[in-house]
Amino acid sequence: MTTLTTARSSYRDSVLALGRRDLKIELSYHFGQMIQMMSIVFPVATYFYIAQLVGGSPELAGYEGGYFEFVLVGLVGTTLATLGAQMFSSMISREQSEGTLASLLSTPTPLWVLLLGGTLFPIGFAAVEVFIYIALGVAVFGAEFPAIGLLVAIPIAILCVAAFAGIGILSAAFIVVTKRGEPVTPLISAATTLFAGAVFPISLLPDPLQIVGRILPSFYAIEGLRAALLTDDPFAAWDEMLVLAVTAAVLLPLSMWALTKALRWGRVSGTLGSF
Amino acid sequence: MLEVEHVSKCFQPPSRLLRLLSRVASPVPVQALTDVSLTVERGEVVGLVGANGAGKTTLLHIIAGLLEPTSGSVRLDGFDTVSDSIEVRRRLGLVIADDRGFYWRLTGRENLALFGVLAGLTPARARQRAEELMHQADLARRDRMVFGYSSGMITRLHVARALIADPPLLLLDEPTRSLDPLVSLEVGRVVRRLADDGQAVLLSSHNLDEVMAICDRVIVMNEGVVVLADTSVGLRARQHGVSGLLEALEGARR
Repeated sequence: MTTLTTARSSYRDSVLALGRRDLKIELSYHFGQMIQMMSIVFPVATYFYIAQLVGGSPELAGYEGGYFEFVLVGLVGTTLATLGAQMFSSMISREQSEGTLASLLSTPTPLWVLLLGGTLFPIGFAAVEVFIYIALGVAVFGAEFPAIGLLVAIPIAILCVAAFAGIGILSAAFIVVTKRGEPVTPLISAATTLFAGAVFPISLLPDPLQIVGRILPSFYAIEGLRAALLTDDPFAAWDEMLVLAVTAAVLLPLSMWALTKALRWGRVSGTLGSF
Repeated sequence: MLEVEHVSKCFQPPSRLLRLLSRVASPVPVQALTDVSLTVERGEVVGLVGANGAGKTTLLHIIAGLLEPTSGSVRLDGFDTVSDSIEVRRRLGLVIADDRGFYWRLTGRENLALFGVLAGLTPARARQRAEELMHQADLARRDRMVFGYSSGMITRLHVARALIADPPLLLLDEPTRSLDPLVSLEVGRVVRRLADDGQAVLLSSHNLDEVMAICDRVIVMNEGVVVLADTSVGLRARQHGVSGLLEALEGARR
């Protein structure tokens, strides 16, 4: 006689199982991740030599260190923003095309657990990527960051990913409906580079474009990271952290609502399994 | 156990805006199911028979919660598939008629263990159950990444996954698709044994002999409507078995 399982897995087991799934899949492509990691060397080295050319600029007067440290933190901020914006949409897109979305959604695991489990590997990979950025910058190219600043940067990085996760889940909802055409990630990456001060201070931009920069959460993430890592007072980033926290608090529930609606639409329209 | 009451499903064309964003399957409404009612009890195997497009898969997907009915309700052990979907999904195993649905860069074992945890088993129990089912499905010796599986092996892996958490209800959409006759017979025997052990099974198939052999009751569908429902014994006596079913299907098409 069949009975319902008595010893049930916890949500933690499900999250870890999904993380292991992604790790195994990525490791099955033996060289993919290695090549991606190695490719980090190139932008770091490129900006190091650009920094030699640029030297000290009056626009960077508010920051400790030179242009290299400034841009290295910008690269870290862009990586974190892109991670938050991309991880959910990539996940949904992949599950749709492999036909596993319907398989996952027919299990009793709640949607938020499926999403959380799918973020473990990308977050772990991005953490390694950020570590390599910083380690390369410090060990090979002589960048200097205060140890306390590195610790303060961790909650700012988490808030940055959380704020952009809201945008990423909205993007995933878009993909559930349209199947392709992930609209956000390329825009986030480009807008962060141009408007949010990733590679140059936004004070160089014309006033109207500076306003655009100040609308973007990535501006506050990068400014917060720079306050922690490149100023005398690593704890000066409270305003930026508040903006990121409020953005996350507003966008995460809103985006989960949108994704739930999109999946419901998929169940009504019968397009959940199509891609 | 399973109660399907007056379920209808009409796929409406999406709004003009959505049609601009993505091409759609059909620009006109498609009535997939009309007023379908059925029950399946524990220990019973019920077969859904019908031509392609009869609505069998749509019905199974509605029961599994992958589709929402336009009207009517589906309840499993008293839980509604729309409002209590997690409780419903905890109680069913689904075999979909699709070669996709697995992680192709993982082995069959790894897929089963993952879906076991997602179905509610502890990781250790999921691995143990995966191992048992890999042997039962005769996949253990030939296990490899799923992209190296044949269609028949994938179908067997689908059946194994549906059984991983030993759910009270099994929904099998063409479970013997892509299987050779001997393995099809074995799957039929397994389904019968599961029902004898108390599981409820609702399966769809194009294979009339198979349906008549293993099902307690048979439901014939055509264009989303139930055109005939009877016990296998009753069908054999009343309408000369398989030929009677074929006649019913032909009659429905006319």
